[in-house]
Amino acid sequence: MKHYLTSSFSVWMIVLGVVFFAAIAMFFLRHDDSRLSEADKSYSEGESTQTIYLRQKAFNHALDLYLALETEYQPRYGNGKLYYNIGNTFFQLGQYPWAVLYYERASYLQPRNEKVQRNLMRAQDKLQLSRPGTESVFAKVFFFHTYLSVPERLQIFAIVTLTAFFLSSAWIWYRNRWFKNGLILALVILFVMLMSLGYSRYLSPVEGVLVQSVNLRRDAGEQYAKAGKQPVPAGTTVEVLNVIPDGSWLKVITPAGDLGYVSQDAIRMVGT
Amino acid sequence: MLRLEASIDGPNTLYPGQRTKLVYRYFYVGNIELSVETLPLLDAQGMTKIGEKEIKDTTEGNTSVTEISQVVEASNSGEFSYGPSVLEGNAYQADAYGAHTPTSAKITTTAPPVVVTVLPFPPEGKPSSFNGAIGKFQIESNLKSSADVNVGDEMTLEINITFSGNTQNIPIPEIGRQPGFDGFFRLNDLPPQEVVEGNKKKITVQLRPLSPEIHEIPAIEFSSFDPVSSGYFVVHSQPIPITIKEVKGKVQPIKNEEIKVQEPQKIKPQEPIEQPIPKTQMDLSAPQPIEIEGIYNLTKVDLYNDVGGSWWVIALIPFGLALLVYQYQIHNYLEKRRSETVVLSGRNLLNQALQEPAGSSLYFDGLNHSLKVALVEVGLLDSAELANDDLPKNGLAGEVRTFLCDIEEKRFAGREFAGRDVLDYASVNIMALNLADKIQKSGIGKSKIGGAA
Repeated sequence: MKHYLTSSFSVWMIVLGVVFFAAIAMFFLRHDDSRLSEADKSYSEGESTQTIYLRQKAFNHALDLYLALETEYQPRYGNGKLYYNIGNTFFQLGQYPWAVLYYERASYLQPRNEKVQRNLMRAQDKLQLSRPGTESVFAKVFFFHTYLSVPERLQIFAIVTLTAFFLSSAWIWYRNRWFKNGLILALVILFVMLMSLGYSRYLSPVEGVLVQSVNLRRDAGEQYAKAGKQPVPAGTTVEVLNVIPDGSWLKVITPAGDLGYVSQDAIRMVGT
Repeated sequence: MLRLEASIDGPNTLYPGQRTKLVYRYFYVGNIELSVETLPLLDAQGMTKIGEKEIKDTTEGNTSVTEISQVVEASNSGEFSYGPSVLEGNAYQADAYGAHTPTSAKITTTAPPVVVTVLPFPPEGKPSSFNGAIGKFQIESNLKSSADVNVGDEMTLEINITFSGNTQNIPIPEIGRQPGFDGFFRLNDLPPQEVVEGNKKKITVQLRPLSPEIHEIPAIEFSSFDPVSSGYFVVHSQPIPITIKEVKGKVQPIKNEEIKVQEPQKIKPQEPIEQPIPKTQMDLSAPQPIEIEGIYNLTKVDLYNDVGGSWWVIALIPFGLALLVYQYQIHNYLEKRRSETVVLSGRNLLNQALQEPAGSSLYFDGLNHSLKVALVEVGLLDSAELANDDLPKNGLAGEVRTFLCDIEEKRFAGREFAGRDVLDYASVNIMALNLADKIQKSGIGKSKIGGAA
């Protein structure tokens, strides 16, 4: 029994150690990408150039590079800076609905970044879109839920989980009341974070941005009647309520409360 | 009786884009079961069919009339002959069960060919803005967004084209090719939105001014061909004054600048429209001001997901729980093993000591050590190496202390423990065993008494 327990425990520890060090090594061995500096440089050229033609050429080049980086790396749980830069580039090219989309994506990952919020507001102003009202009571009570992005909450969750694990381990071997109290505190934080993450994952509204002006339809198809008299303007952030099984049509509700279906071509999702 | 008639309900001489209706009429008495039905008019080869064919049944006295019609639109010029058209069948009578019994010989009826002529548009007097509209129209344009904007800002222009009479084809005027647009405005790549309301077509166009030198949205020219007079008509909307600024200002409230409609007038043949050339290229090339905050200088870290920031971290919970359960089992196993070892060792030491010759130093040392070990085992003492005088004076440890001190005292007094008094040794053995039992029964979990009392 003793031999079995100790040998199997050792194997676990070795596997854990290997995984840990492999992750650390992968983190530090990530190669730099020359397209980053090229894109930034091209963007700066676009800002300082003297003609519209050269300006568009530079911004388009920057956009190509940024979009290629986005496709390759897909930093959907990153810090949102790439999305912000893409949003800026779309803005400079006058593609405000797409700018809104990428600012919303950046805002999803950086909810406290005022720079993102300001540029998002400018893009919405360009499209003459009204912005959502003040924060809800829910947002005020559970401030951490909106104050922190999903990746940040996941990071906190990971840290607290590891802390709880080490405190539990310590308490198993050394019945010390400090370990016990620390463990209780960690478990409370862990529970709150888990609830917040569970809400984000399964219950919170899924948002999308209309990248082109569309008429809402009463059902999933162009053949169905229009749900409103006017098309919903491009750049509007809508709540996605449902997706029909083949994914080609989405049921959405606009900030004005209009309900209807839009084709997947007209909408892009904000979150992960 | 069975008769077939083929005709055109509308003009039989058309221009491309013009529509007409091709009609068949069946005249018959009683029931006719058709066996051959050759109707080339409904196929309308060379024409574009508009909608589905329409079937209408009526009666004239005791004659039934079935009318089948199809609307077509001329697309290519030429002469199109459809026919002859043929119907063939029998008169029949149906019994109560629906079975048909022929009541006549085979009847055949033929309609002569119908000819539709599509004429090309006359090249004489054809305006350069003509793109196939047929009929008479009026045009007006309204600005649906602010008239005071920055260079590059989007403006929304609504163009209303009103038609009179039976006009079906209203192509959109090509805004980008209109005078004063190319080079001055950038149009959206997407086609404009079109909505037909009654006898009006509403077209919404998004455009962006490219220069602060622009002072108006130019008049939009729309030309059409009137088949009745066989001539072209040209109408214009009025230009809309606008203000384009280089520096971004506040967005002004939307103004709706209605433009008076200009009546259509027949025009003389004219030269193709010349596109005006901008005054200076530099005027148009002034880039729009920077309105937003700058970008981040990205590093490789910005391209990756945050460490521990994705959903896989949820897997830490089952993984951690499994490790905790594992640790707990190991802990329990070691505790149990330790406890078993401890119970045996105290007793063993005492038994070993009692086996030694009475009065020997091994006997006394074993006795002394075994009881202290027993106290350590149950947590009443921190160390078995403590001197007798350092043992606690109270409780079970105190009893052991008294016992051991008493033995020591008698041992070195020289009389009772001179190696000859067996009864005293027996009582010592019994007392030691009783103390060991009491210690063992006191169990684990009592608070430890550290150090000397």
